[in-house]
This record gives sequence, C-alpha cells and structure tokens, in this order.
Amino acid sequence: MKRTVDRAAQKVLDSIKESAVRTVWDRSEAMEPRCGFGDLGICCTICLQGPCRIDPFGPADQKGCCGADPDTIVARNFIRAIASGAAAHSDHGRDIAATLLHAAKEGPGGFRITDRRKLVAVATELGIASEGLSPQRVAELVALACSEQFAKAPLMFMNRAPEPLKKKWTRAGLWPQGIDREIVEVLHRTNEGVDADYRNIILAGIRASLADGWGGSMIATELSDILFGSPSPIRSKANLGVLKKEEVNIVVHGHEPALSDMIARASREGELLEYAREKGARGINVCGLCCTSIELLMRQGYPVAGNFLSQELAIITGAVDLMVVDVQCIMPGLSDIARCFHTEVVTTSPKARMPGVTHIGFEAAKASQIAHQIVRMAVDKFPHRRKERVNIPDEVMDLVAGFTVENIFTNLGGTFRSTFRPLNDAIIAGRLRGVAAVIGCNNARVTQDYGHLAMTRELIANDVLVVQTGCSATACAKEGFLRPESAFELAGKGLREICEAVGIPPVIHMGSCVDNSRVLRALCEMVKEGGIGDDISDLPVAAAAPEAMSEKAISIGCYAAGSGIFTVFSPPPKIEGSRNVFEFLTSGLEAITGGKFCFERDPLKAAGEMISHLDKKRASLRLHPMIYGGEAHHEHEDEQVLTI
Amino acid sequence: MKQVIIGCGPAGIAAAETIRSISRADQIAIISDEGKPLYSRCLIPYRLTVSGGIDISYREEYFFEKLKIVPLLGRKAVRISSAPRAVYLDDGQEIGFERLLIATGGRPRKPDIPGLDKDGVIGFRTTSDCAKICGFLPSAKTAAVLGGGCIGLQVASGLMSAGVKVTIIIKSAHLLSQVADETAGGIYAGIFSNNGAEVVTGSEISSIEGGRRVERVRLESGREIECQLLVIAKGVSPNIEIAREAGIGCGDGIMVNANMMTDVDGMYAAGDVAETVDAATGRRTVNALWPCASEQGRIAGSNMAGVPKEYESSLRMNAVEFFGLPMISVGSVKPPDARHEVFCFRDEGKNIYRKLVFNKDILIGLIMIGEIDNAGVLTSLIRKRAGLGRVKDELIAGRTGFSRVIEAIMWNRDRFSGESYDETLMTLAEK
Amino acid sequence: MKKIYFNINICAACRSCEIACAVEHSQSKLLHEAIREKKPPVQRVRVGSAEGRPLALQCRHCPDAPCIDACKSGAMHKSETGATQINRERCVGCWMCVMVCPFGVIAIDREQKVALKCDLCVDSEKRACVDGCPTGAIFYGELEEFKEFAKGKSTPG
Repeated sequence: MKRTVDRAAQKVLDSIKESAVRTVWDRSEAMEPRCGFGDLGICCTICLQGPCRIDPFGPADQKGCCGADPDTIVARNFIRAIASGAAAHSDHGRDIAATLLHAAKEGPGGFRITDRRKLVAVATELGIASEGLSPQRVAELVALACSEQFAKAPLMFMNRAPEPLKKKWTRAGLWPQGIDREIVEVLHRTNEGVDADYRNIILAGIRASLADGWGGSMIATELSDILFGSPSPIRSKANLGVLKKEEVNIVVHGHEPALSDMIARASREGELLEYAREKGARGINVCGLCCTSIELLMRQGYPVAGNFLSQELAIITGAVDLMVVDVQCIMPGLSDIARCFHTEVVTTSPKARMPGVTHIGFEAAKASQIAHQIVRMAVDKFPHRRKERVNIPDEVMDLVAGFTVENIFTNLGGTFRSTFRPLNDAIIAGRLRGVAAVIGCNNARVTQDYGHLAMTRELIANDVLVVQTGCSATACAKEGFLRPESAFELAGKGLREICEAVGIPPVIHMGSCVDNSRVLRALCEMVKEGGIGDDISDLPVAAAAPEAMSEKAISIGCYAAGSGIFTVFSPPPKIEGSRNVFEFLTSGLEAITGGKFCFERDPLKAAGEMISHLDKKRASLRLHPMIYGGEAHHEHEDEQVLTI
Repeated sequence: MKQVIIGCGPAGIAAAETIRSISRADQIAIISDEGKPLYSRCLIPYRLTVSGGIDISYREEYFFEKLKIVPLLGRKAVRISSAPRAVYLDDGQEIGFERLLIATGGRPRKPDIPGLDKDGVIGFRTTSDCAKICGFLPSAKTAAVLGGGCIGLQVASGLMSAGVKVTIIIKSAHLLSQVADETAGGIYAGIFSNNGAEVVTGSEISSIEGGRRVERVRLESGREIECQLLVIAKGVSPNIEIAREAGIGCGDGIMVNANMMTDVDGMYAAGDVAETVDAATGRRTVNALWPCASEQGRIAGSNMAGVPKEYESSLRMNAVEFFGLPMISVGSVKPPDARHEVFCFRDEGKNIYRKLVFNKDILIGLIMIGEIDNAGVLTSLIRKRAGLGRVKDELIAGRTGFSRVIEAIMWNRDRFSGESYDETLMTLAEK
Repeated sequence: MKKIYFNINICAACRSCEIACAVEHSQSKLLHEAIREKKPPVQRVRVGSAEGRPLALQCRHCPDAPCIDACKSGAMHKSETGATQINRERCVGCWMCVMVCPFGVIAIDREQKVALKCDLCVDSEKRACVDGCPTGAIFYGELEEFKEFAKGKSTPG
C-alpha cells in the first residue's frame, strides 16, 4: 500500500529510507497484522473478570464473562469512544469559555474581545440583553452562560435546529442534560453491569455526541470567533514548502487557538524580529499542523504545513526550529524524531505532556509573555540548524479558506447580509446536486490524503458543493482543490457556474474540527431559507470522514447522524463485530433521527453512495432534475492506494 | 553396490548416511587420512574461546557400526584407477568400488614465505593444528594472524580471549574481504581494535624471523611485528590432485554436473573439493562452506544409491559472530558495476548494518550485521533467483519475514517447490 | 508425520499463539511470571502479515531440512518421529541454520547463544499454540486430518 499521495510527504520519506529514523508508517506496518478482536470491537476490557473476547468465527450465542453479548460489548466500546471524542472537543470549548471570561475581565496576558458584532449576536441568541452593557460585561455573561451548559441543560445552540429535528430528539430522549453530564453518564452506563441494551447504549452515545456538536464544539467555534475574530475569506498556502530556509520556522501544532494566536502575535514583535536578524535569520515564519494551524489560517491567513500524518515529516525536513504543541493529535513519537534533529519540541498544556521534551505551562494570564519566551527559544535554535540536513520539499499550494456561515454568501446576498438563497435556488434549479461535508483525519492504515481527494474530486465533478474542515481540508488544500481555479479544472458544469457567480471555490474551507459546528449551522440556515425541505434530514446533503482516526471523529460522525445527516465513515469504528449494531447505525437510526451511517471503505464507492443519497432526497423534494444531467465517474488510478 | 567414499568430513558423512537410508544392502567404505575424523572442523575455533572445553564431535563413535560402514581411518588415498575401478591407499591396500565419491576437502594455503617452517607457525584446519596452538599459548604473549577471513578472525578472537595480544595482518584493504564489504569490514575492525587487537591492512609478510621458534614477522613495508605465535589463515585449496592424476576433469575444483558426478561415470565429488555453479554469480566456483558440503554430499549419495537428485547450485554464504556481533553474508555483496542496485541501512547506535544487492528485480546478495532474523528467507530468494516485483520494496524497508515475501514466491512458484512450501502456501490458497 | 497446520480463514490475528508458545517455553509456565523472568522466553511461532492477511508460521519440519545440512555441530537433527529438533547442548549459536531456513522460523537467543525453534512441545502433552488459539485456527495432526478439519468437519488436534 502506498503510504501517501502527498508528493512532499513522499519526498521526505524517501530522504530517510536508508536511515534509522522511524515514523508512524514504520510503526503501523510493524503492527500488522492488527488484532482482529480489537478491530471488530469484540474485545471487552472493562472489568477485571475479563478481558473477554468473542470468537468472530464461533457459535452465535457467545457471551463475555458477565453475560454481555457481542452487541453489548461492541456498543459499550463504541460509546466510550464517543465520550472520549466529545470530551476532547468539550474541554476545548470549556477552555475557550474560560479564556473569554479572562478577556472580559481584561486580565493580563493579552487576550481581548475582537469581534463585538458576533458577541452581540451570540448574546442575543443566549437571551442576554446587551443594550447599555459594556462589551466586557456582555462577554462575561456570555462566557458564564456557556460555562453553565457543561453542567446542565438546556444547550442553547440546539435551538438553532429545525423544529422537526427537535421533535425527533424529544421523541427519542436525545436532548442532552449538560455537556459534561452526558459524558459522565456514558462512562456510567458502560461501567460493568449497567446498560446492556445496545440500542439504549448507542442512543446515550448519540446524546453525548449531540452535546459535543451543538454544545462543546459549537461553544468553541462561536466564542473563538468572538475572541480572535470571525474569519473572512482569506488566501494562504499549504504544504511543507511553507517552511522557509532563511527564516526561523515555528510550527504550532494541536488544537486550541489561544496559544497559536499568541505565538503568531509574538512572532511579529519588532524586538523578536530584530533578535532573529542578529541570529542570522531573515525573519520569523509561523506555520502549523492540524486544527490550531487552521484556526490561525482562518483568521489570520497563516500557512498550513501539513495535516496529522505530516507532523513527523515537518521535523525531518531539518528546518523546524521549534514545534510548540498544546492538546490532541500530537504523536508521542515526535520526541524521538526531534532528538534526531535540532528541533525543540515544547509542550504547553498540563493535560498533554511528553517525556523527554521541554514543558512550558501556558496560562491565559501570562499568555503573551510565555509566547514571547517560546518564540525567543525558537530564534535561539536557528543557529543550530544543520544546513546539510535541511531538505524542504518545494511543494506549496495556494488556497482560499476562511468561510463561515456568516460570510459564505455575502457577495451575492447583498453588502450587509449573507443569505443562503442563492445556494438553495441553485439546488432547487438543479445546478447544484446538493452539499457534502468531507471532513476528518488522516490514518496511517490508509494512503494519506487519497480518500479525501478521490471522494472530493468525485463529488465536485458531480455538481456537489463540498465544504471541509480539519485535516481533510488540508489534504485538499495541498492538492489545490481550495483554489477558485479548481472550479474550472475539476467541477461539474453546474457547480462551476455557481462558483463563478458567487466567487467561491468548489471546495469550501470552513475551519477546524470544532468548526464542524459551522456545518450544522449552515444546514439549519439552508432549512430556514426554505424550498429544500423542513428538516436537515430532508436536505440533499451528506457528510463523510474517509480517513477517520480519532475518537473525536467518531463523536462528530455520531452528532452528524444524530442530526439527520447521511454520514459516511471509514474505517469502520470497531463495530463490525456486531451485526445488530452495524444494522442499527446504518439503517435503524434513520427512523429515529433521520440520519444514519454508511461504512463504505472505498472512497469512490462511498462518494457514489453519497450522490445516490442526494439524488434520493432531490426526488423526494421533487426538485428539478439536474440541469447538466449525466454523471462523472472516476476510477482508482493506482491499486496501491487502497485500503484496509 | 560397492560404494567407496574418500573423506570423512560433512560431505562424506552426509553421502554415507544418505546411501544407507536408501539401501540397506550396499556396502559402504569411508577412507580418511585422520585417525578420528568424526568431528566438526568448524567447531575447532570454539576450543580456543569456550572455557571448559567443548565437545566437537559431529557423530557418535558408533556411527560406522550403526550404519554398517567400513571405516578405513588414518590411511591416505594416493591413487584412483578407473580400470580396474579401485582406490589405492598409502599402506598398499586396494579398495575396489562400483561408485566412488571424492570428498577429500581442502588444505590450508601455505604462502611461500621464508621461515614458514619455524615452530609456532601453524595453519588452522585440523584438531592437531588446534592442539599445537594450545601448546604454544602459555608461552605466547603476542601473536600474529595472517588472513582476515572468517577463520583468521575466529582464531584471532580465540587468542584474544586467552589474553594474547594479537595483530591481524591482511593483504586486502579491509577485513572479511572475501565475504563482506568495506563497511562490514570496518565495523569488525573497530570491534577488534576496541578489544585490543591491531589490524594491519594492505600488507604481506616478507619474512618470518627468529630462532627455532618464530619471534617476529617482517612486513613488506619493513615494519616488524613481534609474535611468538603465527597462525596462517589464508584460505583453503581444494585437494584435487588425486582426481587430476586419475584424469578426472578439474578446474579450481573437481568439476561435477547437476548430479554431482564428475566426467567419469560412476565417480562423484562433493564438498570443499568440488566445483559447482554459484547461484548469485552464475559462475562455476568452489564454495568451500559447511552447508554446501552437507547438501552436496547428500545429493551425491542419493545419486550413488540410484535415486537421482539434482543439485541446483551452491551459494557463497557465511555466518559468523565476533565479540557478540553476528553477521550473515550471502551471495554477491560487492557488485562489480553500477548495473546492480545497492541499498544500505545503518544504525550505528545499535550496531546494525544491512545491505541488499539487486540485479534489477532479483536479489543477489545480502549482508546483515546485528539483526540477522529472517536471513534464510532472503537466502532462498537469492538461491532461487526469484523475480521480486513489489517484494523488493518490502525487503528494502527491512520487512523480511516470510509472510512479506510470499508474493514473490507465488510468482515464481515453480522454483519454490517441495512439501514444505506446498503445505504452507496451501492455507493461503483457500480464501 | 504430525505437524502444526494453520487455517487462515479463521485466524483473527490476535497473536495469542505467540504468547502461549512463549509461556510454554518459560521457566514458570505462567504468563504473569514469565514476563518477568531474567531470561525471558522466546516464542517460536510468529504471526506475520501476508498482504494484510495473518499467517502464523513456525518450523515446517522439512523433509530435506536445509538447517540440518547447515548445522556445524550436529545439534540440528531429525528425531524418530521425523521432527526437526535442536539438541541444545550441542548448539553453539553459529547461526548457520538462521542463514538457510527458508521460512525464517529460527529464533535467535543472542544472550544464551543458541538457536530456538518450534519443538512441537515435545516435552508436553499438548501443543501450546493449538490450545492457546481462541478461534481454533491452529491444528496439530496429519496433513489429511488437517484438510478435513479445515473443511469444518472436526475439532482441532
């Protein structure tokens, strides 16, 4: 199997072919064959009477020691993963709310309220009257109101959902009773000897995921916009070629925007730039990996060096002077790699430490000071670069990012208000087939980026507008799909016309993984705008995570399906060991929330499933047939890109 | 059938056992110029390194009795005649045969150096050689070893473990020049140096000096090296004289066909004396190696007993370990030209070195130092000259397990025949 | 001759066979102690990946065993049953067998300087890997018996 279709990544891998440097791919290959019990989800390690496993080839009535059948075992493991993923996003949201509170009180450290308009809008939505109050006071109230949602209902942003969806949630008992509370309940239910009914178990998991998507993640997105500014369409670049030979290279990696925002600010300080020049560098170049990079990209246009699987490769170019990390998706293997180069890796979160690596605890109150210190450390490292080992691949690609619900159709809707009317009209008229969200991670068990690219290419060729977040967006960015020109190069005729008219690329970057909440909001707007259904599940839309890796992705997939969206998810999240769970997620769930999963591994076939789904919805809505009829079909060019 | 075997080394023993396993009636006689030949020559160096002695016997004493073999020990075969078909021994005996196996092995090369006949100058092939060295040990503070091949280094490390200061003198630019490359040679040179030896490269001894006993050697450069013991380990020449004089075709070794038969019907040769085709180079050569000798002896024996078997090819292969660092080297490891692709992997911290040499799609040589797992899987790919396709990338990445190369085996299925392959691959065929 | 055979169709790649083999060849024969033994036991069966499919492989006890040819000390030999066995006392750790084994199933104990491989659990009543396999993918018996077993008609040996 090919490791990657990213040419820059391949170059870096080739450069270490004959050396002792080991990457995630080497470790993944050495781990083959993977344990089938784990892969299928039929290994239970919850209590000490285990570990128990179900023989997938054995008789049908096998049970774990306590009597749990495969459905129970698989379902329990599944929702624990949801809880973990939801916890990550929600903790992120909690931290942003705390930072907002700190900024509201104008505490030291440098954080301030940036987008007052958004502040007022959010306050209004939360039922906080803002007339006569200072922005700081409003922000304080907003932060407190959001913080409360971690402990108790209601989750205010869930009001954005269409009425029919809310009714479905009520009927199914899916309204969360508090973001943290749902996660605790998942852990309770999956404790030995509690919930044993797989449907009941899974629905509790869905509820926890909804508390993520409409709760933790959405709070993170909205409050980040307030704190750091709402994004607007912005140009930048992606891939390892953004590293600069003549400048100090700082790579920000992780997820929360607070740290990266401060690092970016510090890197612009005259004093540090001067210091850099003293050390022989032309300047200080900040770029990043994963979501924290995307936060910087969306709001300030800083370039993205790579996605999840590229993290070690960035260091291996020999050009990274310092990599500063906070939480999530940070491979412990980075410390081994950094030891082979001059790179300093710095952890900053008390929740995310790594042996053998420098730790500088990041606190809001000392934020700009700490950021200054870290940037200074990076400059100090610059002279230690071993020039003969610097090998930066020249791949770098232009991109447009920065799209949000507020700004996506600003151009056509009029100067002051953005509207989804043009989008809905295009869908009704048959110019656009619908919208698909292609999101999610990288996974070393499948060829890096291939799933995202193949699927996206297929969708846009079939007049499906694609919105993206996270590592998936970075994958498409590297390949050039996020340039407006790609509308001419790759999109079907209908989609191309819309892109030309509105001035958007056919693939829309909406942000980081918590910004999948923007997608939820966009779907609500589409329903509100009217003409294409009364509920999210009526819309000709679909979501996909073709290279899923993290438990966070599982949570996102669940809140998507739990909100009525047809959700492709590959590789399957350790649920194939139970036929019943598989059926419930791919079929039974639809009757409850209007959404369901599809676990197709082949990205082209999966795109086909999504297109069929869109067509089915179009037919139910009696929309016009597609103007530019016909269907484009791609083939896999290279059998070596296929998957598990 | 009267079966006569000259030589009681691994080739002769394997032949005898094979003949006996096929035929209970055949008469088998083994001629050996050693009085007690049932030992493994390769284990002799361990007598120097293993304290407390080591049992170097290769077969039980009742071996001859058990297999009903007539042993003619301590006698040298001096002439072979084809009419009448008989072998003549140095004590005058005439041993008639219907089938003959010449497995006379080799003798240590003795370079032409003045002073070679001094006491303390010893080759290293037989137990008596080893006994002589042990005899000289107590009075030898320093020693020199001429030759940097496997035997030379084994003797050197043995002497070093006995507390002797050793100088290794070699003609080539690096140690193990016949079986490994410069990098490997350098790795071991470093290890020997770290353990107190001196390695002198690119040198020849011009004279051996001293009184009745060696006291020093003088190199061509003029440098003098003090030594009270000098071991000559310059390789082995095949004992082909007896065959050549009998009119049997010889090159460097006795020439044999795929059935191990010489150009004289009913006369076979096997082991260090035989010249066979090398799988890696494709050329005829003498591969004086233990595994080759055993296999050749087995196949010769089978043919002699009337069950035809073919010997595919020999293969230059060596496995050694010095000061705890093992090395396996197989095939062609010093490619003659740029047509051959070479991949090297080196982890200095862990003392790991891996080198693979390819001729386009085919693996023709390997060196593995430090990590030697799965070497045999690669050896079989070299031996069968298998076209590798994608498997080439697996090998380069260090994934050398059998499961990783199955694809190549399947593509070349006709070459990988036999019960073991059939059984193992059968399970994969069922999907 | 009775050998160990492997049915790939029902292997879940859990590697329990490797653990069972190691424990069987440990001093204590108990998992929780075996992992702490000074000379940790070495497993003689390995689950490899043949194009993503699992393959549990151990000594094939080849009829014309190349390892027996290669063995300098006579340690490698055929027992009466036809199994290839290593006489541990004779083994000097020269690694010739490792160099020639076409299946790469000879394990190297560098500290003890001996070669190790599947011995068909000759000192025990049962084969550890057969017993340890949770799906019954490993079988001990004659080839014809295995073929029947693989068709699902009998229980593992």
